[in-house]
This record gives sequence, C-alpha cells and structure tokens, in this order.
Amino acid sequence: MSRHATRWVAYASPPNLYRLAGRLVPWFATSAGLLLALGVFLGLFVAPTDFQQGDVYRVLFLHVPASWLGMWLYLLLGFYAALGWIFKARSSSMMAAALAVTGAMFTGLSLATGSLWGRPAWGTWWVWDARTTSTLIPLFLYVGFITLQSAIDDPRRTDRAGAVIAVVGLVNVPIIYFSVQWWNTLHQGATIRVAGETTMPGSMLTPMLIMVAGCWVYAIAVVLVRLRQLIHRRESIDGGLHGS
Amino acid sequence: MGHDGVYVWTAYALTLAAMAVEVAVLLWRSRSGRVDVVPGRDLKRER
Amino acid sequence: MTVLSQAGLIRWLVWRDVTLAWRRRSDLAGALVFFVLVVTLFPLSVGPDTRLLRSIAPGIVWVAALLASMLCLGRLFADDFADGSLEQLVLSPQPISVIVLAKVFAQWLVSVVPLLIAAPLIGLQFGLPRGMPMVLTASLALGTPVVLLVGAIGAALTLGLRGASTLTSLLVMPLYVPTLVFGTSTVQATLSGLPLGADLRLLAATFVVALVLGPWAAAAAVRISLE
Repeated sequence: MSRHATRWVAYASPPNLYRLAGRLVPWFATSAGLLLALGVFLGLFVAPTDFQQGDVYRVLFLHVPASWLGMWLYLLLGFYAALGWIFKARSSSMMAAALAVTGAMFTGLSLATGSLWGRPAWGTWWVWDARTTSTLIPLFLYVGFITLQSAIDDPRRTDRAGAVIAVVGLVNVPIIYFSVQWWNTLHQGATIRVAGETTMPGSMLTPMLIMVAGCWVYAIAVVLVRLRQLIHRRESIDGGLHGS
Repeated sequence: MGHDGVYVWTAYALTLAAMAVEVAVLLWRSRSGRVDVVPGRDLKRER
Repeated sequence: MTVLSQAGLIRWLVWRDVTLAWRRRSDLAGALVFFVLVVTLFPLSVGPDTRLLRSIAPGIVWVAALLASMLCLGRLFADDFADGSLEQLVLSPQPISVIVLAKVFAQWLVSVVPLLIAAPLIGLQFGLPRGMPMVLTASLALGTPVVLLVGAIGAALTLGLRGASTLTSLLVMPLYVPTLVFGTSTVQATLSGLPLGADLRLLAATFVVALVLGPWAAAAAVRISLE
C-alpha cells in the first residue's frame, strides 16, 4: 500500500507532473472532441422538440454543463490551493492557477447561455434571482483570484496569496449562497419561475450527460495543458527542469 | 426550429467559440514559449 | 521598548493609529464626505418621490456606507508597510491577528463612527418612519466592522502591489454580499413591520464570524505579503 502511495507522491514533483500531464493530454483532448461533437449533434438534431418549450430548451445542453463545471472547478481550485498552501506543494498551487481561467470561462458561459435561454423562455435577458446571482458571484471570485495572481511577480507570494483568497472565497461560498437565497425569498413577487429541474426523458438525458462528460474531459485537457505551461515557465525561472 | 432558433444557434456558436479561443490561446502560448502541447520531446533535450 | 501584554498592545496600537489618523484629519473627513455625497446623489437621480426614497433608503445608505468603509482599507496597512513599521510590528511576540484587530478597530473608530453619527440624520432626510433611523444605524454599527474585518484580508494581500486599492475592492466585494443582504433586510423587515429577530441574528452571526476568522486570515495575508 505504501509503495502505491510513494508512486503517486512522486507526481507531485513538477518534472514528473509535466511528463504525466503531457501523456494524458492527447487522450483527453481527442475524447473531448468526440464527446462534444456527439453531444452537440444529439442535442441539436436528434433530441426531440419539447412539448412546452419548443426547441429553445436545447440551450440547456450547454447551460447545465457550464454551470456545473463553473462551480466544480472553483471547488477544485480552492482544494488545490489549500493543499499547496498547507503542504507547501508548488504543483498543487500551480494546478489551482491552471484551473482558474477555464473555470471563469465556464461560469461566463453559464451566465450567457442562461440569458439566451431565459429571453425566449420567459421574456427577460436577466432575472435577479437566487440562481443567476449565485452564478455571478463565483465569476467575481474567479476574476479576483486571477487578477491577484497576475499582479504579483514573486511566484511564492503568488501561490500563497492566491491560496488565501481562494480558501476565503471557498469558505464564503455557502454563506453567500445562503444570503442570496435569503435575499430572494424576501423579495419574492417578480416572476414566478417554473421549476427548472424537471425530470428529463431518456432521449433528452443522453445528450445532456454526453455534454457534461465532454465538457469535463475538455476542461481536464485544457487545464493540463495550462499546467504544463505553468510548470515550464516556473521551473525555467527557478533554474531549469532537471529530469529525474 | 422556429424564430427562437436564433437563441439556440447563438448559444452553441458562443460556446464553441469560447472553447476555440481558449484552445487557440494555449496553442499560441506554446509556440512562443517553445513548450510542447502534445509531448514528443522530453524537456531535458530542449535545453 | 517594554514588552506589552496583548491588551496593552491593543491599547497602544489603537491609540497610535488614532493619533496618526487625527494628524491627517483631511483623510478622515474623506469617508464621511463620500458617504454623504453618494447618498445625496440618489434623490437627485431618482427624483424626490417620498415613497420611492423611503423604500430605497436602507439600500442606498448601506451601499454608501459599505463603499465609504472600503475606501478606508487603503489606509489600514499600506502606510505602515511603506515606511517599514509594519515589519517592526510583526516582530512583536503577540500574534499578528491581535495587531490586525487593533488596527481595524482604530480605523473603524476614526473613519466609520462619523458615518454612524450621520446615518440617523440621513434616515430622517429620506423620510424613514419613527425608530427606523436608529435601526438603520444599529445595523450599520454591526455591519461596518465586518466590512473592515473582511476588507483587511484584501488590504493585506495586496500590499505593495500596483493598483492595490482597485484590486482590494475586486477581491472583497463578493464577500460583502451576505453582510449587505442581512444588513438591509434587517432594516427592511422592520419597515414592513415584521419582527426584528431572524435578520438581526444573521447580521450578528456574520459579525461574530468575521471577528473570529477575519483577523486570522488577514494575519496570514500580512505574513505572506511581508516575505
């Protein structure tokens, strides 16, 4: 058992991580391409027209995966940042930094696709309700993290400062979500939303799952590439990656 | 797809464009940084 | 210099920061003037309809107080960082979180308490009914420390960076959402005649959590920025 543990811990060293990431990227990239292509095709052309919402619901095949990924990538970011801070592991901190841009991208997409769905579905581009506001806030958390890291030159301070803001953000996310819910229940009365999470028939569920999987695989591929670039840039500054 | 189809197409185009831009930026960075996106070379030999 | 106990350090640090701030009195007025100006701009932009103003008053006053308090964050650590006294302070045997707490308290006394004095008057200006201006001020009294305590984390993280003040605002703004929501809901609940209980308790809970965790996180940030 400890031999397995030692094998995995070896990947915490940047050169090994660089190589591992490099080997994984092609698999994830091609899978992403296939899954996304399949998902888009099914979502646009094969899934049946919904009885109530017509064809507009197809935007959900993008909106749901984007929302999921936006949220989960932030959790991962916080996790890796905390790990890097506690164990002084550069690789973990770099992983957090690599996750940030992709997470922000998906959160932004979630907001955009949400608006593009909301406009035809209930007439407004934006609704100030708990769900939309709860997606807007993580976008600010991402942007704050990215901006902070880009303002700092020293890599060690970048890692640690990023970790502080990431962990503080992460701890605050449930509190913020709760307060937004509270705010929303206080100010009810605007539009009454039809519950979004209705059970989907199988013909609609399949494209959804494929899109979620495809987006995840895409995210992993992209994050691993960015991680490799970070490792390369960092370790060159520190004196070159010495293979081992 | 009816006149609401423009929203669907916009959403899909936007998503694919965002992903394409992200990938393009990464590829462009590798070119100028001389880092392999797809590995074929060990870092040692790059030096 | 004699070794101070924790309480002694807090007392000394608060006295020091208040005195230093008093010597730059124009800075102090800044937060108050900003607060009053922002609040005054709203009737000018939305019109003098008393009912409308009464309904948006809690929100406006709260946002103005929040922004004015955020302005003070730049004075929290930056000056001491620039002249090296922050590094000296950190060398003391007392935990840095105590130092942070003292500095935040001093800043709150000097910059925010004037706002709390102005707030009931502004409440009256906006036609808040009897008792409401005091509820508004009480909510601000609980909420503004949170703004400074949480803001201290941002201020500490951005020490010495270009564009520190904008960056600080960007970092801490999302974290203010709960405070803003609970603070305004406290006032609005009483405006609607509902009992004060739940909202006030939430606001108080936010204050306690910020008081306990804020200085600790800010201390970690100070340590990181000083290396």
